Amino acid sequence: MKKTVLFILAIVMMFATVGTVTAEDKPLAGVVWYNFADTFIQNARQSLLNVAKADGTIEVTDADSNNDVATQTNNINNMFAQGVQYFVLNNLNTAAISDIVNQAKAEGVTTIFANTDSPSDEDFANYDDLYLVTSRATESGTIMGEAVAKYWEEHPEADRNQNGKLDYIMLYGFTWHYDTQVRAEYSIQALEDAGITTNRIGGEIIAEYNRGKAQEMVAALLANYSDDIDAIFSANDDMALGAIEALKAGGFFKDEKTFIPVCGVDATAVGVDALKDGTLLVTSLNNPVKLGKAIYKTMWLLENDQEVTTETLGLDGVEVEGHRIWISYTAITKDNVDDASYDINDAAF
Amino acid sequence: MKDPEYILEMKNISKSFPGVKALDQVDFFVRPGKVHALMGENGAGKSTLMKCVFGMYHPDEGKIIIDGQTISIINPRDALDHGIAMIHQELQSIRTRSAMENIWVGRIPYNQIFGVRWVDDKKLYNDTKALFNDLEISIDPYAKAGTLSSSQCQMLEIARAVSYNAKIIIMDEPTSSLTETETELLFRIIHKLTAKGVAIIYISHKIDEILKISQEVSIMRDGKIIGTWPSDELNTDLIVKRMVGREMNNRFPAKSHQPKESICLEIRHFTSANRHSFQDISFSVRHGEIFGIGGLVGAQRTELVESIFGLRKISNGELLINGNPVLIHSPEDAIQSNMALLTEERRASGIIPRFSVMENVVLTKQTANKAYYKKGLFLDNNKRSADAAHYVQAFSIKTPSIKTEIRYLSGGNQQKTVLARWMLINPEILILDEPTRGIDVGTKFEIYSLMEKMAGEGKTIIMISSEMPELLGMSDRIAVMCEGHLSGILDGPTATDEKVMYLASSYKHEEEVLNK
Amino acid sequence: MKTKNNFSLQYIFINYALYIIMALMILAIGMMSPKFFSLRVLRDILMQSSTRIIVAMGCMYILVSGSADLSGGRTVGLAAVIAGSLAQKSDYYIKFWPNLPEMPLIVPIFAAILIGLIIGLSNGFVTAKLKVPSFLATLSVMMVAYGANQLYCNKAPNNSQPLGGFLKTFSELGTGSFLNIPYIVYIAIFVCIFQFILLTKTCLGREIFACGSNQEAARVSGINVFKIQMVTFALAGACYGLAGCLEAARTGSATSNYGNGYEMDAIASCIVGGCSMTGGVGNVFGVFIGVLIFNIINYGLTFIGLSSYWQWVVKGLIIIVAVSLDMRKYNKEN
Repeated sequence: MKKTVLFILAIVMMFATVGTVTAEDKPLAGVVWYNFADTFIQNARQSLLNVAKADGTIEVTDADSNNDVATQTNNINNMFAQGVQYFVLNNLNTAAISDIVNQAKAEGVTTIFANTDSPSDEDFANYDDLYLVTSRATESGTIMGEAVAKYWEEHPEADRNQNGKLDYIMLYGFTWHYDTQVRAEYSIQALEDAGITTNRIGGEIIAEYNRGKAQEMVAALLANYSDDIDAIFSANDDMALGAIEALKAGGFFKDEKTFIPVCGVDATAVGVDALKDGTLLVTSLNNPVKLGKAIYKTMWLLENDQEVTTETLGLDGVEVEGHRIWISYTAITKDNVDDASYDINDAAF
Repeated sequence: MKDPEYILEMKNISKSFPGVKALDQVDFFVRPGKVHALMGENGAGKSTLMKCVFGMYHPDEGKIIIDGQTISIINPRDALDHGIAMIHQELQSIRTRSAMENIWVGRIPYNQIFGVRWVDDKKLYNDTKALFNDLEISIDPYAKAGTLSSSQCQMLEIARAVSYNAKIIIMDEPTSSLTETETELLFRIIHKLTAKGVAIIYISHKIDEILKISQEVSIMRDGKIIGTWPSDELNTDLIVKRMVGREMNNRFPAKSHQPKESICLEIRHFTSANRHSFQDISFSVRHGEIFGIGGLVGAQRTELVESIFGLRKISNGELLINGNPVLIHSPEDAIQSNMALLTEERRASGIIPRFSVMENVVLTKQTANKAYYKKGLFLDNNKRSADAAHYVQAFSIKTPSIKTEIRYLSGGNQQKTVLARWMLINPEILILDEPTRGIDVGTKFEIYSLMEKMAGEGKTIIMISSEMPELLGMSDRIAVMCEGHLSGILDGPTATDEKVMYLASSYKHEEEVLNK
Repeated sequence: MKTKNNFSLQYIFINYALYIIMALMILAIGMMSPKFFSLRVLRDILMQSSTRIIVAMGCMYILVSGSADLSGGRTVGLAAVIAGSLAQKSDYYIKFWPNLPEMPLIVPIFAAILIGLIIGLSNGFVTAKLKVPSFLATLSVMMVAYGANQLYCNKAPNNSQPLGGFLKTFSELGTGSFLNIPYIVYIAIFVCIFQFILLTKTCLGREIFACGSNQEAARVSGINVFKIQMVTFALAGACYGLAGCLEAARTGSATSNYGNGYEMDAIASCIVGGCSMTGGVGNVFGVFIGVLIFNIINYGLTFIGLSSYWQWVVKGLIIIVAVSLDMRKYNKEN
């Protein structure tokens, strides 16, 4: 018993000593990403790391939340324990934004919410050193909706069962995921704004951003609604490509007559390939390099005591509104596939 | 209130399992303060009957009356509440917990503080100590059950049963893993309990014990009670006759084999890799010899034969077969050298419970001799079935079919099946570790006859046995071990009970003598 | 014996619960949408089940031999990525191995099975030689495999992008069909038949069962338990590798996240299909049906447009019902 107590004491003392000798020259930025396995996140992460390495003003350390709220919570605490000067959070836990802001305020760490749901106006009022760098997630939905609306206008035969409604399948990532929600909502919003009546088939199809799952689920729906489906919306490219595989197996995409508009988001390499093949109708690029750069530039400006404005940031397609920094999506179709490319090793900012 | 004549009355009890009528209108009466022995061959229904009393089975028909009141016993917990405790044939201790926790499991004393039940270690220890002192058991209450020998575990089971202050205690083969001294201790405990009015139902195959300890004997055969007699009206022959249902003059077959001069198996300076196990054992066994190994529990006999068979590692020593040194690192090596080992723990290391009788019989043959059962790429099921059927008949294994899973067979039939597995590879050297433990008289005789026959064919047989009559009755020579050492080898014809016991408990003594 | 009829009805229900559940499910879905009774649906379900059947067959080897295996899903993922990286067109613009010429179809298949074998043998070594309980051994190996997969995927120029641009022959393997039945269904059925024969008709198979039922007795009987464990883990690994390769071919892509959770699906299918967690029991046909049941749930509930979340609820309930009935079956016999 005594031995155990002594051992614990020794351990505690060791940690206490280590804790006092964190004398770093460079300011440290701690970044917590929701999931390294997400291609977009991985690219943004690489871009941020590359820019930081090339510039050298601020050191960047990062952690993976593995798509798990509990892991994210541990990561946050870990970052604060490391004594970071800047804290960047690619937040998973949308319900706890205010709590996280309060925690950051108590720690006195400049905090940037990255590529996620925005903190509220109250949160911004509550804490001065709070920023948001994110894409306008709603745009990705709008781009899909507008592209399908255009196709619908140009192709009267697109109403395959002639019911006067656009019958669509909506492939969700996770229903609790912010991007999924706005992509579903704004794509349909854009259709309705264009005066098109819509009808969702199959309810909320939750394919977890997974190509194989989407493929299987669309195959099942096709077996039942083969003659009805007019369009497929998907919260990312992988699911859209899964849907295309299922459609191909179901006899679609053989010629122009068997074309069905399928939309994705992310403009991944395989997605762009599908655009070139003429199977995917549209995707949109949320440029990860821009996200990486915008995050770094924001920290860099703050470190150099400069104000963060659209001008000082100086990145194409990036707008600043107060402490909110917005990155635009780029619509990518067959006609501008080159716009989909970016270089994660590009370190200029 | 008038004391009823019987503390337990079971009337008209029947119980069926798919395909078997295990109990057929059994009437069974037990008087308070008496030891009532229950005997019968394996599969006669003794254990089933007792499991009905203990709430593990529910009879299809009949009633159970305790203290004059008809009750239904739902489960073992319920049985304990009605004052019935049971000592099981298979040891059931929780290996990772201490002896005292094993005794009081389910009723650990506690103090309630802030609504939380904290184990009262002091009371737990004191109660256990008091119980052990009362029963003259010398086990450390703190010792983990896993570190205790099987006889100590058995004593633990007995102590647990006593601790319930039961009116009826069922003892199913309580002495199967006990030494002679421990058996005497158990008998003293039984006397104390009966003096307090406790009724004991005593199941055993050991007739001498039964005649010594019990006042009444009930004998079962084929799911029926064939009668109840006062013990002093019975003798061994009568009991055997009534159990088997036929005349049984000899418990051992007539000795017909004659050991040859040539040596088959020799071990030199065998020393276990485990420091606490056997040390420096040397002996040689001739062709056609039955070589007994005696000793008390803890003498490391099982460890020795398992090392010979390649199941355990040795740090030193040599093994010669027919004069040639042989290296044996695994049972496969041993089998390739024509050895066979019937292990002590039938359930743990004998039967493959989910396999049919047929697959259990052919297992070793098909593994050791891959080509034998092959027809093209696959196993030849006709040949396998034929071999299994041959042994089922030759060993009169009682089974509905050779396709029946072995776990549904009684212990004796399981044992014969495992023995058949070894006979099938036609071994030169057969090692039997407690071959007749927990087996009925009829089967025992069959196994003895088989040993006789094999020895007659010039095969070498090594037999570990804790049953003195068996050891003396069957062996040509008897090696006696004590605490990991070979304390002496006796000649079969001149060996006696006393000589074996003396050697089994006297290695240290002899060493001391030598040192002086 | 007095309640003969009653007994046999109950007997039928308990012994064929699995098939009854499956039939009821198909009937219920078919009643809601009669289109469900079509060859196309059957074909889809078989196709979607095929890779999972192969994973479940691998898992079955392990369960029958008395171990557990959590590495299945991640092995599928790693094999998918490796097979994918060796099956790309030479003109694909982010080719994983830019200088690699186009490979014949056998190379990615062989590579995937090889990586599965390596992971299987590692599982076997850690379990049988280092004596780490299989649950933990395979959990650790699973983590290593997942990490290795992410490292591999993150290699430049791929940088964690999904792999695509597969050769026509490779995609054809996953999507093509013969006599209107997809190739991968043939492959899955071949794997099942192979496994059925191996487990029931050969000496090796019986030794695997013996080890699973009573390892100590098997050892005494002269079975080389170490060898058997290595062989079962290797066979399982090969199954996972093959499944990974087919998964990539079927979906036309591969990422490090492939196969996530397949091991649990496989274990659940095996248990529902009659395997015992304690080893020594299991039959190929039961496991086959087990996988089909889960895929009928997945497919059928999507088919009738019921939200995906319900699938989880139904899956969970099916496991409880199937396994509890199974326990009754064994308790009855005792």
